[in-house]
Amino acid sequence: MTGFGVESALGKFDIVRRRDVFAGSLALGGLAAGRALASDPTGAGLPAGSGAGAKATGESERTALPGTIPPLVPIRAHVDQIVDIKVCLRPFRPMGPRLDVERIGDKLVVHNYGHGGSGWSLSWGSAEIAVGKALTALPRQVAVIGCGIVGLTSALVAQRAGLDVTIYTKDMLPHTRSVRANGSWTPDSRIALTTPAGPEFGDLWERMARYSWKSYRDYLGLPGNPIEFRDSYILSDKPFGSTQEFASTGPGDYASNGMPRSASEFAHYSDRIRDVIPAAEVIAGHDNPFPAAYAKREAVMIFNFGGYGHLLLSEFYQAGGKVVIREFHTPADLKGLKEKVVINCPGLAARDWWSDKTLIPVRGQTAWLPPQPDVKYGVRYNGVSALSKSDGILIQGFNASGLGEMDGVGNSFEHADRVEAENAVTTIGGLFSRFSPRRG
Amino acid sequence: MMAFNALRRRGVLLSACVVVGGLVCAPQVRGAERTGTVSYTAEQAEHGAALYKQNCAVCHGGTLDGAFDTPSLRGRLISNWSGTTLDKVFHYISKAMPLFAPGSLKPADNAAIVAFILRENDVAPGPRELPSDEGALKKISFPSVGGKRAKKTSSTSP
Ligand SMILES: Cc1cc2nc3c(=O)[nH]c(=O)nc-3n(C[C@H](O)[C@H](O)[C@H](O)COP(=O)(O)OP(=O)(O)OC[C@H]3O[C@@H](n4cnc5c(N)ncnc54)[C@H](O)[C@@H]3O)c2cc1C
Ligand code: HEC
Repeated sequence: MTGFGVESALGKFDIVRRRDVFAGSLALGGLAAGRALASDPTGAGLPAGSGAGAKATGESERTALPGTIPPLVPIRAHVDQIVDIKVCLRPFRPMGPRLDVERIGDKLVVHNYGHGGSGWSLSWGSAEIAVGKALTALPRQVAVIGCGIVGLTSALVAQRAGLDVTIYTKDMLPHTRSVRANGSWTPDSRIALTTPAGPEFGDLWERMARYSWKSYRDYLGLPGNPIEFRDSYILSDKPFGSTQEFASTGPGDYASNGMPRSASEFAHYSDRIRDVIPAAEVIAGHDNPFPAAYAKREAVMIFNFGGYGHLLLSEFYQAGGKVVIREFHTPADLKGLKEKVVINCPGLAARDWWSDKTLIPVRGQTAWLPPQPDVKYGVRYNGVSALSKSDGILIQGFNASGLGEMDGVGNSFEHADRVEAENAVTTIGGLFSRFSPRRG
Repeated sequence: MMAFNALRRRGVLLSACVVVGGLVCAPQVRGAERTGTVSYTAEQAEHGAALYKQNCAVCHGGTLDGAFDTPSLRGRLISNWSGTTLDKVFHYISKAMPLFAPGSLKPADNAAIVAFILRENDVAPGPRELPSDEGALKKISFPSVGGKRAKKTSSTSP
């Protein structure tokens, strides 16, 4: 449904599975070797222009109007252009983000952490829920712990509800895991496992996703494009029709191991909001400017970390917000705060300072090249996504392991892997070395 | 029992017990803040639930959580109306809601809906029906919602 990276590409499989469409490989069609390609309907996508998806939903995948592919400036992707490699651990909770409330001494603690690969996307909706709970205590001031995207957004929502807000945090946004993400609208990427989350979580998810989607619209069209839409071209050498099955990492499942074992355990909900999310359209062969036989295009909302982060922070300060740099070590440390109501947004660090052992780190990595402002799109090809953002060309290899959403699960090696980065850049570089701009 | 006192931005000093949308706290009434005691009957709230479903849920949602352009009738509602008397929210609902047909519901129905909203905000039912005339409601404070304290541990499994 959305996105440029693994955050969404994998989710796509499930969407189509639930549409009961004959499965496809989508962007994962040409992933690293050694993956089982089976024939049961677990994949995504359709043969270009086939319309074969109509069965379940009464709807076929549309083919893009001829002439709507603008001239595309090729992406210059070379390993000698890498300016940064960022590694991040997703704060994944099998039962979904933690939004309950605890009383610790005289403090009311509203939790807001554990958003997996969806923290940017769900930030506004999740903050709205957390602040709604905080408000029932009738506070005049609240403390927010953490200044990642979840904490900063919670702080703004609390201010908009009329509260005085102080953020207590170890680090400001540029040093948080949040800015080491991909930054696309991927609201159900590693957000939960289907079984531990239970059926009710879908409703909560939908509320968060719809609220966030609307909130972000307020930041479109601003100077510097903190939030914008990009066309994402999903490319494949094989028809979007073959299927892929993900291997398991071992016997059993989350219930028996306390750790998921297969991508099929991950929950997907994006079908619930497809009424407001732009659908992908097939690009007919003669319109396809890319050196890959099959192409689709979808309009995806993206978050430009620099512009958006600075904007949020300046909004926070303008509304009288204060930031205190402080590290908490145990819940007892809350005692010293003057605020009685605390919104706790430490991301994965809740594992340590709040001893939440349900959090599972999921490693991911992005490589960054200099900005190429004349490139106004992204591509996804052979398990790698490239996206032109205001702060650089982002290249993210996903699913290198062939495990789908299991990729990186339990891996907390938060350290750059240069080889992985170069492989990803080379995949995109190779694609564009065969690209003929004349056709674009 | 009382969680803490908070000086609201409206400048009203209120004692507030903490409630957490029913997630953590067991509900308990704390009426009688000012003059009258909040009471509604379970049947009244049930009737209100049916009316809500018919007239309000389309916008405010089946679980009263609202949406981007529609206020939630839980959580925030408490902070928006605390410090007033119950006639105020009754009056508002009577005059302004349902948005597509303001003023279309009978007073008894609006009282039932208020009863339902109180129930959904963890105010427990009582022996008497909530009255449906503004004079009587004016004597009843918007309840600060009571609740048992959330568990006083630092345990992490929600
Ligand atoms: C590779 C990758 C790609 C991703 N792509 C996307 C995407 O495209 N779209 C999307 O929506 N999501 C994406 N995500 C997920 C997203 O990045 C996370 O869900 C999100 O960053 C979580 O934000 P947070 O604010 O909860 O945590 P963090 O960003 O980790 O912030 C935590 C804050 O708490 C502070 N803190 C922590 N511990 C303490 C303490 N003890 N005392 C005081 N302060 C403390 C930290 O300093 C920090 O300020 C991606 C993640 C990864 C790894
Ligand atoms: C057509 C959509 C719609 C319907 C139906 C509707 N509402 Fe509303 N309601 C709204 C909107 C929008 C607002 C905010 C209005 C404003 O701020 O001016 C609102 C505000 C309210 C508020 C004030 C909330 C606050 O915290 O201040 C209450 C209470 C309320 N509605 C109750 C009801 C009840 C009870 C019903 C059914 C009898 C109902 N509404 C039906 C859209 C609706």
